[in-house]
Amino acid sequence: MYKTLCGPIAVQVEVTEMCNDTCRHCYNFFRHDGYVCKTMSEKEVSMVVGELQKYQVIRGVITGGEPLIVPNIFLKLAEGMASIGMRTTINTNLILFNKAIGTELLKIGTGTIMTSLIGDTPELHDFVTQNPGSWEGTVNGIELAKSMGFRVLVNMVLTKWNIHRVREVGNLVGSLGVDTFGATRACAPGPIAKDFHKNLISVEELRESLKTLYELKEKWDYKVDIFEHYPWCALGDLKKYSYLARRKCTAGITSCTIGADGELRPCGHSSMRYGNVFSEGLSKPWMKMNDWRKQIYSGSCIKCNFFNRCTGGCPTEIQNSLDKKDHHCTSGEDVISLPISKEEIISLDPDCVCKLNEKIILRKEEFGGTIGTRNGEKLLFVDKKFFETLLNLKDRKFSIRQVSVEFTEDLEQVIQVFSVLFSKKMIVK
Amino acid sequence: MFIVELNEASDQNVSEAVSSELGGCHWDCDTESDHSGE
Repeated sequence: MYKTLCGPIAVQVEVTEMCNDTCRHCYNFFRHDGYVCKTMSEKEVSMVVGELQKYQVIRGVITGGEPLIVPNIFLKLAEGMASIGMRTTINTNLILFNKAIGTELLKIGTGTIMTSLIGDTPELHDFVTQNPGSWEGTVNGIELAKSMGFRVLVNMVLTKWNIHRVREVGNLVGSLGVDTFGATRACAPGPIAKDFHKNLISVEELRESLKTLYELKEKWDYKVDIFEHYPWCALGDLKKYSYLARRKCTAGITSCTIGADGELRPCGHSSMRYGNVFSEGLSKPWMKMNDWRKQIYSGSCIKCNFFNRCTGGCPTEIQNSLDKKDHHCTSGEDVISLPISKEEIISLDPDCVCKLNEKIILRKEEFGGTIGTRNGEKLLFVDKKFFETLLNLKDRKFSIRQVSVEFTEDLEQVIQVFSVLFSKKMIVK
Repeated sequence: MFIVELNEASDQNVSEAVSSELGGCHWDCDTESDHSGE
């Protein structure tokens, strides 16, 4: 069971359900059944931004559908999120990307784009997207975005259709100068899961894709990633893949998705709805997601020794799969090493003068507080006394010894917890 | 004055709390934006 936060820390906003591609692997539940697609209105965008501000949501992803189909609405949302200090990135296929949109985004301060490239050839990519010309549109978009100075991450969604082309796609995106190449498994999406499961890659193919990613990293010197949570038993060698093991299932715990219809869902994959942000605000539906915080959808993984740290595969995949199991979960016995943390805790001198980082976010919670940095990279959860102390220390300089005396706390304990804050750059000298 | 684990099944101590950051999922490309990979 996870503690209940007053609101999410990261939110994905599906600004529209419309898309110019119809990817065969698409996890959007609204993309596959003749559904009439919705788009947020300007008024609804303003309401969403207001709620995100109210609950000090730190990080946002604007997604869809394809956001660039509705440029004015999408830019209004990007601008709104930036105006409240959220770190925002855009998920787009880039087909409709142009200089005018790019210029606006850079003006707003949103300089990171993630896109999908399914194949190294138009034939393969367009087969999967079911949109002739989409490969050319996406590749041109990547080139334009890079030339304008965007940080561009390219994700290849892995299925039986393209698993044999990871190296070739990695080489292509390397030649385009992208910043990060990801190769991420497709999961069984809800409405088409029964027909789709035969197109999922095997766990052996998944492990081979990881090896290829790391070979490509050496060759091209770009970063590599996966953009979904992989179960630890699928990763196997967690020491080698520590960086990839950082991704957990955060649905309903620290993150959620707001649909174009305002419905709050635990994540983009899930069709489960908990209430409407337009009519009820963010908090009420968020508070209803206790089933996710209790991890009741985690299937047999819950019995695994690594469950608490792994989080046990994708719960939506488990719900949608034929055997009620994450397709790539094998057994805890396949975990041959544990992840290593790069974070080193530097012990602070008790007389060293410090202050809170100007970009720190202090959000009050029922149990105490969430401490975050404005870019959303670092998070810490603290008890009430620690939170109240940090509120008191805002806008002033202090030493650890002073804190210990002023707040009647054991010096060693203060050194320990403030050293963690210092290591996370939440306090600075 | 303590750092706490979000997961109530975990021990409440600093070393565990350091690992309590939830890295994010679902096409969130900005977790650890200063990441270096392995």
